[in-house]
Amino acid sequence: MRTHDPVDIVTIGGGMTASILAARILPSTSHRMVSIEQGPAQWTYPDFAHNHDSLRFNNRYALMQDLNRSTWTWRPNANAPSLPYRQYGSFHPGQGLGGAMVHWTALTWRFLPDDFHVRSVNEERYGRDRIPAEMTIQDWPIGYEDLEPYYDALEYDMGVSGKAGNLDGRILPGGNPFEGPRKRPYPNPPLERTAFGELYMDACQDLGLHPFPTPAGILSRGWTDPYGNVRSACLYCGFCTRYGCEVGAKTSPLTTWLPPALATGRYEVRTDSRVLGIETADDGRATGVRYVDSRGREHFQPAEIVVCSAFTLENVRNLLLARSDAHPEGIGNDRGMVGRNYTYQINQAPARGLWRNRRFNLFTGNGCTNAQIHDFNSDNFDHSDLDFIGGARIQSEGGQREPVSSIDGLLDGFADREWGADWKAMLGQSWDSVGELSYEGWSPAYEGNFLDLDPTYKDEWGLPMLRITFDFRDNERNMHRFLADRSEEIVRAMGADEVVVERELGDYRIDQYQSTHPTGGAIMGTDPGNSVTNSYGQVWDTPNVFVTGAALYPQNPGANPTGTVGALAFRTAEAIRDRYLNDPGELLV
Amino acid sequence: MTQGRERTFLGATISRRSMLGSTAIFGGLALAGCTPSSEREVPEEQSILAPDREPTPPGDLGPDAYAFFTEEEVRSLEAMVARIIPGDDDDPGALQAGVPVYIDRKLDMFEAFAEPTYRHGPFAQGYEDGEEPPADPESVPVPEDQLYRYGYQAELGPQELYRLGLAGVDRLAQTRSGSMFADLDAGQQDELLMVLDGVQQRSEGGGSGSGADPEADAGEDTGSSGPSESEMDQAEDLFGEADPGSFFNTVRIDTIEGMFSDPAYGGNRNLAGWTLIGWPGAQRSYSPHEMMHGTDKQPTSMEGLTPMNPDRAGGGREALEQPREGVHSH
Repeated sequence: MRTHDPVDIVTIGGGMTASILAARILPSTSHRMVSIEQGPAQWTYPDFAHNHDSLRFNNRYALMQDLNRSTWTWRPNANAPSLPYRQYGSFHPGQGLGGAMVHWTALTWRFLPDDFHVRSVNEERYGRDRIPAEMTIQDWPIGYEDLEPYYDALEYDMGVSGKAGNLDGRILPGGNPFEGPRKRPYPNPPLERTAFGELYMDACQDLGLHPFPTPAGILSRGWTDPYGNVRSACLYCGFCTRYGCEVGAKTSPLTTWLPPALATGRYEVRTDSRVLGIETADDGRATGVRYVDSRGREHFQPAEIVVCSAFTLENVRNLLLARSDAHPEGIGNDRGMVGRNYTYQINQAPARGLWRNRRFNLFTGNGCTNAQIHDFNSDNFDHSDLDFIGGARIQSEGGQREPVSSIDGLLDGFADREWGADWKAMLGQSWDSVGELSYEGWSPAYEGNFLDLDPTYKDEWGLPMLRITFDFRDNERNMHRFLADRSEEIVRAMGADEVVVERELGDYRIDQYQSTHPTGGAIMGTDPGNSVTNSYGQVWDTPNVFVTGAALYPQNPGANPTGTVGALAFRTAEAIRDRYLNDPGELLV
Repeated sequence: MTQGRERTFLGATISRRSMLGSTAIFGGLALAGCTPSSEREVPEEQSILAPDREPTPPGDLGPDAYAFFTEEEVRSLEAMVARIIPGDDDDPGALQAGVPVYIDRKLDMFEAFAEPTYRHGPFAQGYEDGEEPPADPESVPVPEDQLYRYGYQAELGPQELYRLGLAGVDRLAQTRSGSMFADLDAGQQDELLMVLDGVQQRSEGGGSGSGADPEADAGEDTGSSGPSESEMDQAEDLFGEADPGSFFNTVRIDTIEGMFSDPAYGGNRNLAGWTLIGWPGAQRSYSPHEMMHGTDKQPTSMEGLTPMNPDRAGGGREALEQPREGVHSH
């Protein structure tokens, strides 16, 4: 085993949060940082210059982790058997330089102020008995106002395109009136919309709802960011989610944080290298990470700080795998907190329509060339007489439709069956005449949904896989029925000639894509009795280990997690740079 | 399976012929017009040509030769895809678009799966209510009615699934009608395929065919009764190790892929699939006007996509010249 020179920070993973830490910590200091990335190096040019191959990127998952070497197992409850996630379905963790942010859809949200106090808000407004005994939701240790400056900085780094709805308390027409107050508007105007997004906007307005353009980490115009990166606007080519952007209009570490980090000469990303474990000293402190390169040789990278900055599931797994005499159940797990409050994101399309002789150009644009409503998200509406708490954002289908990933299921419910002459004729007429409304719902935490190590399945390196125990509960099923009704009202107001509604949520199935938003499992909290880390992602029982990303979420609100992942990483970077490294080993307060 | 196996990626083995074939096709195309002028670090251009990052090439077999399927299998497969997406010369379907060749190339190129797949045991062993088998380190007992929730769990790879499935289709045709599947009339073929489709829906606790939806106010109730339980049981018996439902679904999905993927993969000849649905294919851009009002752009394959040229005005040379030092593999 080769032991490298010690560095200040080593991160497991070379994706979004690692690049943010590097870009925020290194330029103004003399620190050194290394990231260990399991996938290959990849760059806007030439790797994504010619990537309009939907079979390779959509159906064959060219940018995703190689499940053959390691995957995750799942079971619906603790009494059921677990089986490996053998092929991509429910979620799509990426690999390679830049991580999953290279192939993301780029919806960039700030969570709503109520989302950070979800237990208190619901108890105060509806009474304690409205929260089921098994529901283990808890307030975040920080509020919206703590994160606002970091959301703001993130949005200007990324050049987010959108329309402000609440500027310093002033509600602005055309934006999201439910958002928390922001100090500055979005740096760039909203993206264009397809004809379908426009129709959705109009229908929502007619219904008295509050539609607004999707906030997107995709540039609507040329943008020079605070680091001096010069970037071009989106070309609306229609190849976005699951692809790298060929012009760099979709924000990723490649476009934004890697250039200033690498320019310091003190940041190194070792690609095609897989971390096998976090090593600890006798006193329980982490000493660095052990990893294996593409030729199977083992390395040890000593560091003052170890950051778990891989995908949510692997961050939790790496904590659990780091068992030693000092931490017999793994790092962060001295009080059995790791794996608790594993949550997800319900993403369903309960209402779909078919408009005869109409085309919406849904093959253009990207996943953000549409519009949203937050009228039924969080506690933005009265739940007094409802049989659930929480909610979801509802959106119209964006764009970027292409055949090989869209055709199976597209005419489900409109055609008697999805093969044969009638179906073919209908497909020819209607491929661009059907559209869906989908919602992105919150995922409350439950005692029975959790992560641990699988007792049977091991990865290519002989290490136990992570086991996901997860299923939906009545709150989600009831919420789905409510959202299906609202979605149906909108799709009918959009004038669809035929409508298909899925009234029931059904059981969670891991083979059906919903979103790459597994969250929780290494949650932040106010003290070691209710969480794995403090609000900086610093592990209570091992203060020189930090966790970044959505594993920190006590539960997942009804919006995509990436914006908050970024804001939290900004806050952690600042704390490490300005405070922790001056006094290493101490808990940040 | 005619070629030597050279290297492994994603658990699949890729033949040398495939690698060479694809380089020849895409080599001059991807970077035509790229003339980096900077003396500074220039990206490795061939990364886009790396064999683990590119489509299945048609190879040098000629458009109608088969590498994986036997003659007998080709007859059954052609008959099947011709019912999944029927067509003729005026209105091309799966046969006219070369879908069987697409499927043949995919199976020839990937010994296992074209997509990342975890293929190690123990594998699931389904059981009916109250009949849980004893513990066994080689398999994981799972209630039959819960299996669909776990997604793909079969031990069979796609090559074996096709071999067993096509044989099963003929056995079922023989048992039902006394002749091979390809020799049945179209109506009989459809009835048989509906049995297979029904098995797939049954395994998910659903109705009796893809597309059926109880809540749709679309279409009309056809009043057709669908396949009976005994017909579906018979199919399962005759297919043996292969599941008739997942076999049918695999062929249906592969038919969609072959009809609508880039012609570089062997199907979608003359862009028949894209013309059918009105997809312009690989395009560099759409204007806001096109997003609202539609486009006149004609279907274009990847081969026809305008090359990227970073030296063009606004072509992104600045992005190209961003620092890259510090990112490396051991």
